[in-house]
Amino acid sequence: MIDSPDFPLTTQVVRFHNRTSLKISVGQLLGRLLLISALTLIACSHDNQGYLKAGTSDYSHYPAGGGLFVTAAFGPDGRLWRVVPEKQHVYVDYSTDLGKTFSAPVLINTKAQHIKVSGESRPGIVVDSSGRITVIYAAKDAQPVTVYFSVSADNGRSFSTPSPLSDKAAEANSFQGRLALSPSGQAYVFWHDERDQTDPRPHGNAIYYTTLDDRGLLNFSARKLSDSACDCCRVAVAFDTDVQPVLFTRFIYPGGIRDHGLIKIQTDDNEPLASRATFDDWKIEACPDHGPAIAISDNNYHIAWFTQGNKRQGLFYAYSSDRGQHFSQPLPFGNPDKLPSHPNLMAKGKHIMLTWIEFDGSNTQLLLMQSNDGGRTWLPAKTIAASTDEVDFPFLLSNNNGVFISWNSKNEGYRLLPVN
Amino acid sequence: MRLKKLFPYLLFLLLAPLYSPVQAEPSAFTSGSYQQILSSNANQPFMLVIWSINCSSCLKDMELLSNIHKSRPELNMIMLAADELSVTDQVQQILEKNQLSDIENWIYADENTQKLQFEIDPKWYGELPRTYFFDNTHQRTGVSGVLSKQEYDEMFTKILKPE
Repeated sequence: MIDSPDFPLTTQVVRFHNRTSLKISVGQLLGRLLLISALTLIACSHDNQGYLKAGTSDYSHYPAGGGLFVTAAFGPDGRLWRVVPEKQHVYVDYSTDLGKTFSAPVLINTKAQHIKVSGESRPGIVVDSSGRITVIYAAKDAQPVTVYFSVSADNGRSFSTPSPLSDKAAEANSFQGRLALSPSGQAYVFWHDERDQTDPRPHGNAIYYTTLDDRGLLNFSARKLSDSACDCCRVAVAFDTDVQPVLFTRFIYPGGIRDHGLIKIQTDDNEPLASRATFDDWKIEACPDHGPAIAISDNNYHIAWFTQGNKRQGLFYAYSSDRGQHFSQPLPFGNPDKLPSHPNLMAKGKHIMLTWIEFDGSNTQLLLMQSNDGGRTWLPAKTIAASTDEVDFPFLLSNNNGVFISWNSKNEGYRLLPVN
Repeated sequence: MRLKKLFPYLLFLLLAPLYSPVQAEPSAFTSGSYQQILSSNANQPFMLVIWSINCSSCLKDMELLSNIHKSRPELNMIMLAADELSVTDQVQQILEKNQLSDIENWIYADENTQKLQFEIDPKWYGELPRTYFFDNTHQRTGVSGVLSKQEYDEMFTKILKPE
């Protein structure tokens, strides 16, 4: 239905032009036209677009050149899926060779929209054990910004028409969408919602959430989790050993302090548990645009965050052995002279991996630091990649082949970098 | 490529004055613009306010900035929107609404905003609003976040002090 056989064909034509440049005879031209026709037939007759190696990681095969704020997730079969936003359209593609080449992109929104994405307000994608793919992204609608969701039940060949996630999308902005799949296969979506906004707004934004059922429908309309979130920082999510989600994000505490806190969703409709996790005393009325990270393993919570508080400034890591009631002394990381930023975490048992980026005025470096004892001690940080132009934030992903860092950049394209 | 992208905007800039008597739109802030601002304000104190249409804290600050501009016309206030050129209209609307469109206004015009940010201040992480107060020797103080009237006044006393 929403399959997009046009794009592989476009790709072939574009490449053909690039390669031939000006030196081409009429005979060669005819020959190549025949070749294109043959490829066209193959493309049209093939059920699975995936057989067409439609592109490399540089987005040259994308109609409008792809986008910077790309989110990736591994599926149950080890395929790497991406959601790629452009200015008016959002696409999904996948890689069977760990990010070296990607399938033809499949269009999610057939109707053009003003797509609104940034490093903090990102598109999202998850693939559950049955292969069902859920995608979220934000676009302008009746309100300046609305989070949409779309689901594919046929392994990504087609997607449902995108719908607003919020039941109040016509009345209030929804943004900072965060999609997360629990270990038991439940898809959760969290977002910032301005439905309760009063003027002047006293204590930040509301966070709402819902879950999706196995038909790709919302289980319930939005439920509120908080009304004091800092509205420009994304929500980080990890799942506790009881498979309940734990949110970690920046809140506005009394006195205008922007510090971080946890919210754990309880079972049986009990009130969510909220607790403060960082005490940096950042008293400020500003948009830091700098969300934190959380990972959970072996009953330990691991957190990483950015602050410019009175007590400390920069990037920090801490762990908790009592489900977030107490955290270890914040450990600074990153080179303070190179604007270390946008950390991401992964925990596999006692193996903790921390990645972030640093900028020296012209180049961005991707750094990785690892601990083998649950975050108590850390090996020296290593630079594992670099970029000369705009970059996205790095994210740690894992499948049966190991752990990788998913990192997109304008010049170097998309990279999936193995951690070990 | 960049020129091509900028062309409709440049065309608009050229034609706009022919059709309407609106105040000038923000200038395109690219690599080197920060130094240009410094040199065109040599030996003068000034305030540089960096803001964005997507920054709710910045929008809360607008009314106060508008009042400061009205009550202290002698103060050289320059504003820079950390937004992309495609939203120039929205930026201009907010400036006009707050009667701040007659001052020197700029807008980011390079996709690599981190580079622009670094040229302004290699220690700044990009949080908004960000305000710089320059005295007449261009010794500057950078402050993140919305300031109170009193905090602004203290900074003005500092940068406007007679020699």
